[in-house]
Amino acid sequence: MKACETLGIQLERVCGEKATCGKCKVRVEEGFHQEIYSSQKHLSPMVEEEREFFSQHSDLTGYRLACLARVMGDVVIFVPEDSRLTKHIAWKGLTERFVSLLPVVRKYYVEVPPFGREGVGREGARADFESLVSEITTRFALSDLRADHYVLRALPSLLRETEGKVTVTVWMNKEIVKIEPGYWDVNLGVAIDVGTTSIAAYLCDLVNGQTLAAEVMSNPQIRFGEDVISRISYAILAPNGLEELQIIVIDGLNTLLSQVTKQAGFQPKDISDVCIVGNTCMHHFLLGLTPYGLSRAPYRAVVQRALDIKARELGLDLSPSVYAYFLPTVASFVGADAVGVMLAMEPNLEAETVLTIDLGTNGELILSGEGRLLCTSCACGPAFEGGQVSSGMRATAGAIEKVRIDPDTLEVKFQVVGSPSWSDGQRKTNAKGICGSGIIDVVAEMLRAGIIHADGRFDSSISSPRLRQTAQGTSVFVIAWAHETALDRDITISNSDVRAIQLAKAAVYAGASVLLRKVGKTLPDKVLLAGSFGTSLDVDSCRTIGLFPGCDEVYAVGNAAGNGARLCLLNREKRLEAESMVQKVEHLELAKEKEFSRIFLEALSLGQYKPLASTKGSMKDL
Amino acid sequence: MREMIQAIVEGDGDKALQETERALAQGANPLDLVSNGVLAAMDEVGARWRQGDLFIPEVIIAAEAAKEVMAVVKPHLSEDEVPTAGKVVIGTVKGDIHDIGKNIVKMMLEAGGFQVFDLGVDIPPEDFVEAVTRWKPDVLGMSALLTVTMLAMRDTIDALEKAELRDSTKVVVGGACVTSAFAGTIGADGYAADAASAVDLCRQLCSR
Repeated sequence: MKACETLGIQLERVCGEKATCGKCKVRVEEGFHQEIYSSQKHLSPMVEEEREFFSQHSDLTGYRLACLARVMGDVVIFVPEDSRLTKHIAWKGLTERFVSLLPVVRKYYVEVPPFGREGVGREGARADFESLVSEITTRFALSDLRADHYVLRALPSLLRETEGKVTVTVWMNKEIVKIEPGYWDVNLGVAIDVGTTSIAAYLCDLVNGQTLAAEVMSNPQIRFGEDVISRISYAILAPNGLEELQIIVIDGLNTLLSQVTKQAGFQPKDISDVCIVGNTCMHHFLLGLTPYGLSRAPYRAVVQRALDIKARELGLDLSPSVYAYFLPTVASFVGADAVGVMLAMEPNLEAETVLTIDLGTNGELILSGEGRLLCTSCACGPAFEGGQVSSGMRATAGAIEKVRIDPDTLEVKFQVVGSPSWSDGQRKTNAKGICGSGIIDVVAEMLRAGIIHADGRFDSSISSPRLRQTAQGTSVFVIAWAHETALDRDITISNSDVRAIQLAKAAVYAGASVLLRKVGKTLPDKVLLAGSFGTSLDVDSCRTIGLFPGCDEVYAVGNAAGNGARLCLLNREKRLEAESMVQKVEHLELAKEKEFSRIFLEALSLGQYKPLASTKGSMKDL
Repeated sequence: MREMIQAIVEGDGDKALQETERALAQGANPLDLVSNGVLAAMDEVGARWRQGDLFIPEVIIAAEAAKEVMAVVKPHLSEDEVPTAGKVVIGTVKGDIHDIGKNIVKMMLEAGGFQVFDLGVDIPPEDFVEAVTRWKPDVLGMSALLTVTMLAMRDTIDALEKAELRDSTKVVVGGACVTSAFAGTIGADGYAADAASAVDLCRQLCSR
């Protein structure tokens, strides 16, 4: 894996080198290749885990897992396309919505008098900064302005070069964070949503409130494991692990910031405000705070309140005195991203009961209604983001995102990210795997077509060329034939893939039920599905698999967390709202809720929820 | 007996009980009903789980049915006839409060004829040591869901060694984050990936 990275090929590493996901498989070429004698023997022998993996994947002869195999001599390696970590292109949609414009940073153009040639000497005794402040105070009624030494260092030459004509950026009516030459009324802010899997940035014009550009990238920390737990372990256990995780994500943000500003014809130094949301782990990593307390019960975060940090202290390549605002977090596993979601949803606690589900590796659930605001988080596992699924992948180029199965013929058609048309069974597509929304579709459609039963079992009485048995006696269903894909093999869904979705959906369902019971309800009036799925998520499929307690009014709302960050950028009162919301919200720890286990087990079956036939005996204790 | 086995595997507790009572009335050997009936049924459940045919809820219901049958057969057995596969102390390690996985293992072990002492969650090493001293189990099972808490397993093994209990008790570990390699490095006697394998593993260790 290190060798591949040295050569600039990033590999998938979903399981964090546990030899369970097999996503980093590479093929070793035997024999001479351009004067290099390559052989399996030039790699370290397989360790037990690796042997175990390949004993269950007999179709992968000649392959090795890059995470475990070490290079001992010359080898020529073929990296299959699905083993490569590719650029994230799925769109984190951002709905434009109404908010009054009241940013924390404002620009003021001033002409400081003594710097005209004639003026020199007249007020020569007055210091540069005091002259500037006095001018701003007189013209704009802003008093007691301060500035840090970075601003002061740049001030004298700037005033002299421009003969005192400068545009001053003032933060919170009290601090000068930037001085630009001449008249420059461009005021830009950036909202950033740092997710476990992907990072999205939205460049906003703080003069008119428009979103000028948006960019998404994979979270580069994925190298250290797909889920937050692997990364927490790395931060705690590896020497300098935390520092490494912080540096790599900040580097990623710097790349993202230069891309998003370039897209709109600007530069990162034009940005005067930053708003950041992320789950509590991402938040801690960005700030270089130890995740130790998050790693074990009773799960304590380092800090909960909102923070204003100089962007330069984080290592962000922006104008040095600009601030980055971190939204407050609720609890160890309900982060600022959930606060962002709550802000964006504008919950009206006295009206209907609304259940908001932010789907991801860490599912966040928010319930508002009956005068209360409750939230919790549930461990879904990476299945909704394409992890731990045999043909799973993130929502990037080549991911199957929509699937339909004809219930009579069991024929399948699918849509790949970025392509508007359905597959026709013949044409080659660039399909490489299935992403979360596609997997939800597959399970829902298989259920509708009777290929699987509600308990997740494949129906063995069905005969179709698409349904086949593996050597291990398990079943797989073919979604895309090899000739329709960019691979040289079929894309399939296996029995254990269905199980992964069952576990994930049961966690969401049970979490939602526990929240509803807390406000004395069994069903919500409205369900909002948020997450990076954007528009590709099919709400009917979610309903079919029984993701949430039955409800007719269901909407997919896209990246609500990012939207919340954008609101905080555009309107400073939203920050206060977020901070007071954190005080109001009641957080539940599901592992401590007695009913959770039982509902979780009952919700493992697909489709309409029904309590298990047997509720006597030990089921109650679980 | 075939009907009883079938009923347990299908999780039909009522039918399993009926069949058991019928067999007993017809003079079936109660010991035979347990070892070739209930335990055989749970073996089949384990096998079908591994094949992907059964999932957690079905396995739990089957284990429940098995327990009910056991309760009916037991009075027909004399004290020393009651087959015990072994004694197991089980718990989730310190810092970890996840219990679903551990509870499923517990149920499967009980259905497989083990006597199980469940300590609960967030159990510090000294509590494990105390339980091992008190109950003298054949096997101590530890569960951890989070990578970070799995190191508490090593602490517990160290504490057992210090208390000179390590040689008399086999230690097995499991949980989402645990691997067989990790089990090896902390000096555990075994690792099981799921509840069905946990039962097999405990049987193996107890028969040695």
